[in-house]
Amino acid sequence: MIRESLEISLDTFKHRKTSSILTILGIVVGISTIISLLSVGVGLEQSLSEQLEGMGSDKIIVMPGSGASLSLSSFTGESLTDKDVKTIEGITGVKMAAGLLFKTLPVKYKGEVVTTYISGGTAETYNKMFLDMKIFEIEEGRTVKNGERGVVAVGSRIVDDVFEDDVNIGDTLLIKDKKFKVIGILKSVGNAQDDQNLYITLDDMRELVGGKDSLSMIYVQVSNTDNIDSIADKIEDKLEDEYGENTISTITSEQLAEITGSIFSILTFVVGGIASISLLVAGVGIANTMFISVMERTKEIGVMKAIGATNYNVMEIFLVESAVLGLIGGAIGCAAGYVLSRIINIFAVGMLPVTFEATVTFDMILFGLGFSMFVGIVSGIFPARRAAKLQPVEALRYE
Amino acid sequence: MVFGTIERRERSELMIRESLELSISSLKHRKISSALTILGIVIGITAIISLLSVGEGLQYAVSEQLESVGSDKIIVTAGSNFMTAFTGEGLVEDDIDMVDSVNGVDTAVGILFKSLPIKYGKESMLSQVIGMRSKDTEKIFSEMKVWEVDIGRYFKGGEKGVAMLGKVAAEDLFEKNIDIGDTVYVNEERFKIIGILKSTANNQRDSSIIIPLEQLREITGSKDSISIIFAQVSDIMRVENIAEKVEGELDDKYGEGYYQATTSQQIAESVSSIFAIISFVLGGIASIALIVAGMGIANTMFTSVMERTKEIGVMKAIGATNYNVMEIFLVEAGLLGLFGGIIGSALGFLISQIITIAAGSFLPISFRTVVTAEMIIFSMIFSFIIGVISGILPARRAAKLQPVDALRR
Repeated sequence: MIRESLEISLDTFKHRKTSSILTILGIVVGISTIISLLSVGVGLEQSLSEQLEGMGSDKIIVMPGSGASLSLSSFTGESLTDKDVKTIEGITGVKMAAGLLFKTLPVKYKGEVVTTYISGGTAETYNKMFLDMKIFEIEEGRTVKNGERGVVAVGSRIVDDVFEDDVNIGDTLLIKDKKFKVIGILKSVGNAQDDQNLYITLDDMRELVGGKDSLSMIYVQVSNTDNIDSIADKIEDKLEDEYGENTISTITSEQLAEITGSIFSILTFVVGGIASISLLVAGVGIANTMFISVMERTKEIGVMKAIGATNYNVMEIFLVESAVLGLIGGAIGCAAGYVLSRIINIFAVGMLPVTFEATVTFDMILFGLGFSMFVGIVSGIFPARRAAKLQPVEALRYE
Repeated sequence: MVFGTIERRERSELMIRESLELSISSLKHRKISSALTILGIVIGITAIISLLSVGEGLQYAVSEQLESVGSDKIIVTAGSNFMTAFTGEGLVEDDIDMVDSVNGVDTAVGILFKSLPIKYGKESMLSQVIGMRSKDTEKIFSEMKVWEVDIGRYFKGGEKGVAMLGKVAAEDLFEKNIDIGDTVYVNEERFKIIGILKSTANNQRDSSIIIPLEQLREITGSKDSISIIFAQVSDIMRVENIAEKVEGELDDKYGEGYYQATTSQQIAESVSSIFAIISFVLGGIASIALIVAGMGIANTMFTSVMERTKEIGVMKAIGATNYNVMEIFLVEAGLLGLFGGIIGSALGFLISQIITIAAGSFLPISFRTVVTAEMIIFSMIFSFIIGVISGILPARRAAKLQPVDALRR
């Protein structure tokens, strides 16, 4: 009989252990999913802000178009002019301004044709942008010189990622059947599109696509970042005096960071929200386990109350139990989520057009632990209340 | 049990009543357990169906678009990147005739895209300007019907200083609505509006102004470049073959890789597949919830097995095999899953309808979520399978119970 009682107790414990493990496992799955997805979101956000930082916080980009009509085509529009650059430079607070003409054109190299962005600028513009504003940096060679024609500086990806054969300094590229000698290679900016740009002289560009003095966009550097927003407004006003209302847009790197930041926040929210559904289900599992637990320990509860425990005491005990279940699941889940994010990293690097690293932050872990404990407590409320309301006399009578 | 001074008869009544209470309590408890277990599956399936319905709705919208454009169309662009082609101008006017002459091509037209400021009254807005040859307008608006006139007419051969507006350009772009007969200025050139076009689902297209190509060339100094050539084929079934032929002819003339001829069908397919991938990914994330719900089923079943140990012993004693016992528990688990799947499907359908209504009031386009029979059937089968799989380990434990030990408890 003693051996069988032992067996029964062990059996009960084994069962309750299985129950607890399954319940905790549910939380682990939920939290690890959330953590790994959040880490991807944070990684993407970080790589984007890295790129914006590369540009510098003292830059304004001026483009034709505004609000509703701003679209992809605005980037290769041609409504700004050389005169506008002078106008902008005349505004107080502006250190310097440089304009570029952008178009997408087919580029031929050793028989292979790829269409990519070509930008045309004067030697002066490139010097300003590369040396003074440091928007781009040269890795090898140089950019175009004053008066030069038929030369091109290429982005870092052109070297070995765009054409089948490698492109080096001295090689010849054909743009719309015109020859261009490669004289320089730029450092990588961090995103694939910019890294496969070609930079030729403005005169060559205008010859290729027409347009007498048109520009697609103007980069502006301000002397003082404190009032960069008001300078941007002034630029808009002055140019709109000439072109009409609502024809010019300016973006500061700060605004750009805000916009991309909020896009990512929304994405992370949506994806994280979907992942949270599994946490919700795990919470339902905790509630289930706690209900069973309460039922199985009815006698125990009766004894507790008989020896003086209050309803509140009983409720507290069960709430703590469910909170602990949640917390343990959360801790293991955070660890599992971290491991998952490392695995994602191994696969993602190289697949994405930007430099990226899934990052698990301290905040995330705190959130994971807190959230899982919260789910545990909330799931345990109803079972705990039932435990609290049990009448001691009936509870003791229960076998 | 309280003994002592209570009478014998009262005592037996007391015992019956308590057994009943016990049973009811046990059932009530097990009912809560089952309800919570089913709830887990319900939440998972609801999420999956809602997400999949949005994905299906998006794919359906794509095929609606294809129907309106027509699946007998070929789009010729310069360059290897389709997206950038819309802002490029790598083709020339002669190419239009060359495409037209390809065997199987019915008609071919070409348009030039530019981005210029449009002035109406005091306001100026940068917008897309489409340059069309006067001889092409009849083909585009009457024959190919890729765009249709709502009010007014399209310009014909030789007309100058006239323009057509997309729906959004006429009504939303400027503060005041633009009507037939009004004057707008494109880059300082005067144009009288003679037609307003029907709205398409493409906002950028609807905000465009269409002017004669010859005039657009004058304004921008572009000599003979063309952004896109549209071709219509006579035989829809062979449209892909014909597109390849067009690409072949262009490759012959210019060298390989400069031009791409894509069919409207191919475009629709690639957009559709992007949407399909997105809904799969989101659905996959939601499926994780289903896995957790499966763990809940396993949990409940383990408890159930433990509670019914005696019952199982009796079953085995009167001749049930291990397999019979396992079967019973597997079916129970499967039913828990299936029940959850049914309720989840109903809830998922409800939520998808709510999404459709919400989309209608918040978005400018009409968007419908689509719940297909396959989705519902798949969800039910999936939830049943999850139930069964989750029940395997508990069922095996029940099957392995020794009747003698079980009865002794």
